[in-house]
Amino acid sequence: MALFEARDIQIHYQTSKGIVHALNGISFDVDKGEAFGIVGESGSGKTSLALGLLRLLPKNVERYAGSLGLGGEDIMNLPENEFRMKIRWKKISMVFQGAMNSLNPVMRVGNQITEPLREGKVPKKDAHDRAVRMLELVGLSGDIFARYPHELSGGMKQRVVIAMALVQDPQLIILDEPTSALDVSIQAQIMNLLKRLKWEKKLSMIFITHDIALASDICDRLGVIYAGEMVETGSLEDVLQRPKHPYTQALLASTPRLHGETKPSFIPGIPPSLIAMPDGCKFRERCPYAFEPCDKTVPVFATSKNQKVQCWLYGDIHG
Amino acid sequence: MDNILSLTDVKVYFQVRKGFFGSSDIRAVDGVSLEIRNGETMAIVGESGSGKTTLGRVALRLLEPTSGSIVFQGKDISHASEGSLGWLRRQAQPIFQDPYSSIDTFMNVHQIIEEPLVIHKIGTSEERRETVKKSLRDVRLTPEDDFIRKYPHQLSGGQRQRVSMARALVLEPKFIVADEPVSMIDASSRAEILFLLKELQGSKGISFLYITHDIATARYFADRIAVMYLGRLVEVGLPRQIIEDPLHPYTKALIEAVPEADPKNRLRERKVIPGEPASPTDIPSGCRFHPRCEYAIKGKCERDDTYLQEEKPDHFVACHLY
Repeated sequence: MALFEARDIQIHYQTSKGIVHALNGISFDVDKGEAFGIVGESGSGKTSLALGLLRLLPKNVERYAGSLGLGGEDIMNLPENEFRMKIRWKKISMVFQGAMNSLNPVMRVGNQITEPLREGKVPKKDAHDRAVRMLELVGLSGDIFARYPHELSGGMKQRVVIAMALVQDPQLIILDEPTSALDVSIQAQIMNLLKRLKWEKKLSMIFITHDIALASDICDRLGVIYAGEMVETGSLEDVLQRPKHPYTQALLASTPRLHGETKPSFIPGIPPSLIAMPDGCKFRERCPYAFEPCDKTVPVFATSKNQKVQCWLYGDIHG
Repeated sequence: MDNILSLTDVKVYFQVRKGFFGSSDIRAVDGVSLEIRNGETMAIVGESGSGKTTLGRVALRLLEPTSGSIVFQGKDISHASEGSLGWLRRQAQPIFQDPYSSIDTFMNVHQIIEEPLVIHKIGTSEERRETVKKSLRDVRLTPEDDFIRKYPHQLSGGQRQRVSMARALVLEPKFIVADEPVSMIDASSRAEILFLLKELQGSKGISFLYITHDIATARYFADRIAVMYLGRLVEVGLPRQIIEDPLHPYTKALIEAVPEADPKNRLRERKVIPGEPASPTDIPSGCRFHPRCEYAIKGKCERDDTYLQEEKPDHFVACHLY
């Protein structure tokens, strides 16, 4: 059984223009020690998903439904108090997009790391020692504890933020674009750190990004989301080398490569409005293979044991 | 005349206050010599703090260089007064990174694109309307009569960026500095914008200075690539030379750090350069990359500065290893 199971997650927001259908039924599993990548472009719903999993959604949420299981326990229906005491930051933690720029500028970074421990009545000495161990774990020296954020470089701050997410020994960590504010050479350092945490600490990860090449640097499996739907999931090899959904194929083809002769292509048009959602496949207006059944609701078809795709092109697989 | 723009030993220093009395210089661009040929696209690839944006701004004379010379179409514009640069403001245009903040949200598409024509007092209102429409067709925002009335909030990021391209093109410039024009645009639309720029370069004979952190896009768009580190160019060459046969240790590391969609990568750690670039207020002695360089030669690299030298035909590198 998977460590983490998300089933049919739906998130809708109430806005002055109408209801925004940010997520419309997303399902996936994450095994222990596995990194699951969620790849989507802006507006696809990937950050809503991350916030939803930790119950950090803004107030204008009109609907948040589906089921979430962690280690076999239903955590979707836990009362808020219990979710806060047992789950958020303790079993599931998160590194937010741009988090390194939200460190408290007037507080020593060490105290920012120990803050949740001190809230939980851990003695000061123990909390300090744990924070120093965390700093060392993320490749910093322990004396960073007494520094202020402005004394650290971008890469060091990002390491501090990762230490903060790890300090309560979570089973699952959600990483939302953890390197998007960093330069490529620093990004590579942080990716090496995350890989080491995954290998050595058997940490499970949900790695959210717009960059499919970056996701492939750490993820074991990938889910591709488009307009609030998971259009394809599969092993990294399946999705990168045998992509089934036309959107996945187009997204891969649009990624510039460093080597080889293929030129990147692009997807014409823009994603549909999340307020007036079309029926059927959300990608069909931009899809080169769109045909007659595409305006009908698309089921998920399994094209192999591990690969699933939400596309009518694969409809005959089930007869 | 082969070059549209020649920079010779250009330096741009900014003074910052330190404490109550002292001040120090940020050496953003610290001795760059570069020629851009007519109709050529030169890419400047560098990380944040490398000075690439400052270089783009000084190339357009949006900044005055601290020293060095800038020659545009044969005229020395290094220290020309703003009042005498009207002609340059028509010939050379910028395209900025962020299409959400670089265009005025209270103007409609027509007003945004027309504004440079109004400022330069070109054409009658009727003629300007036709020019605006033509420039919308150039960037494929068609049907142009629909787009002309729209406001920026009704457009996607890619469409907004095409509006700012149309605005840059409307004066028929000969030189465009495009500073990270696709970095805020979704991956699936990036190639569309880059190919459009490339096509305009061909059809209108525009020279480009393409500034980016993304060496993979530079490869498709540029005729030559220059790699910048802490205010200096460390390597200049053809895209094939820079990517398949990099000479400078920094370029090598930069290329090694780019993630590629290869499922085997997740099973290995990537070779990375240790540390982070030094601050431009405190540039290391000798070769400015030496504290992070695994090939640094003791007694030489921390002492002697490096200068670009032609190591192979058209391939220049600033490194003591060569």
